[in-house]
Amino acid sequence: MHPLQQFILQEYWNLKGNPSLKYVAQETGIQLTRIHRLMNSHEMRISEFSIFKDLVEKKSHLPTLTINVASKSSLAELAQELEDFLDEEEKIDFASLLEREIKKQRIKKTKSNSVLLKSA
Amino acid sequence: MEILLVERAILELMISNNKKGYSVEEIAKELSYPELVVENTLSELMVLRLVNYRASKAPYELNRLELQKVAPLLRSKQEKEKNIKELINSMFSSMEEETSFNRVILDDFEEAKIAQMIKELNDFIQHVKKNKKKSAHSKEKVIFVGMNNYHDLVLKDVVGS
Repeated sequence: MHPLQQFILQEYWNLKGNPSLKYVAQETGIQLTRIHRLMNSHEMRISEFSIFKDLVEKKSHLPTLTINVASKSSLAELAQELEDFLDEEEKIDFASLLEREIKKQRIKKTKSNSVLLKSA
Repeated sequence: MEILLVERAILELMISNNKKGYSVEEIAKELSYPELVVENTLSELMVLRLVNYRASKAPYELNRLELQKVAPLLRSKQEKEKNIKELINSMFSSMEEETSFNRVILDDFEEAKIAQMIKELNDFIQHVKKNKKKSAHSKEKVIFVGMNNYHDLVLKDVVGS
């Protein structure tokens, strides 16, 4: 089980005092069988993680940031957060790194697009 | 402007042979790269205007005027550093038997011995480089040798130089 999934489930279970699966399904709106699967190490979806996260944040005194940082999942969100930390020079370096990676993916994955360029 | 190693390899080939035009097949054969990679890379070079396309048997031509403009960038220390990092990255993502990476505690004697061996190896490589004509791209080797303090590298990884 992913450590984040384990963390959020543990927090939820502690806060609710070992609730029944039926109760969890009712509160989260997630199907009972799915809750059972999540408890048995099936990978949690981001939407499911968000539901548990919201419920835990509402009830606990855990700093919100801890959970927010941990639940970052999209590249855009991570890039946005990184941007807040970097100075101008570091931003240029990082952008350069991303640009190179994108170029590599284009070269590796794209079926030749030179036809378009040739006719331009 | 970002120039990848594969783009650099194609540019170097086109510069060194001093031919007017190239076909994809010709470049792919010379560099031993798949044709799709060559064709896509040529497309990238066309976007950068470093390569022109003219419908013929050997349609890809070097745009020497544009190349002159970016030559300082291609020779810059930053660009070389990026290339070295990418080479090292490739090297360690396909660890061959000859590639070794060790973390070890050394006493003064052992450290001095390894430093001496590295120096001898580097001297030998310089000697070989001096006396060797440029050969085919696919025959070139990359040799990565060095020793550093693990603690310093760990710190540098977080706080930079």
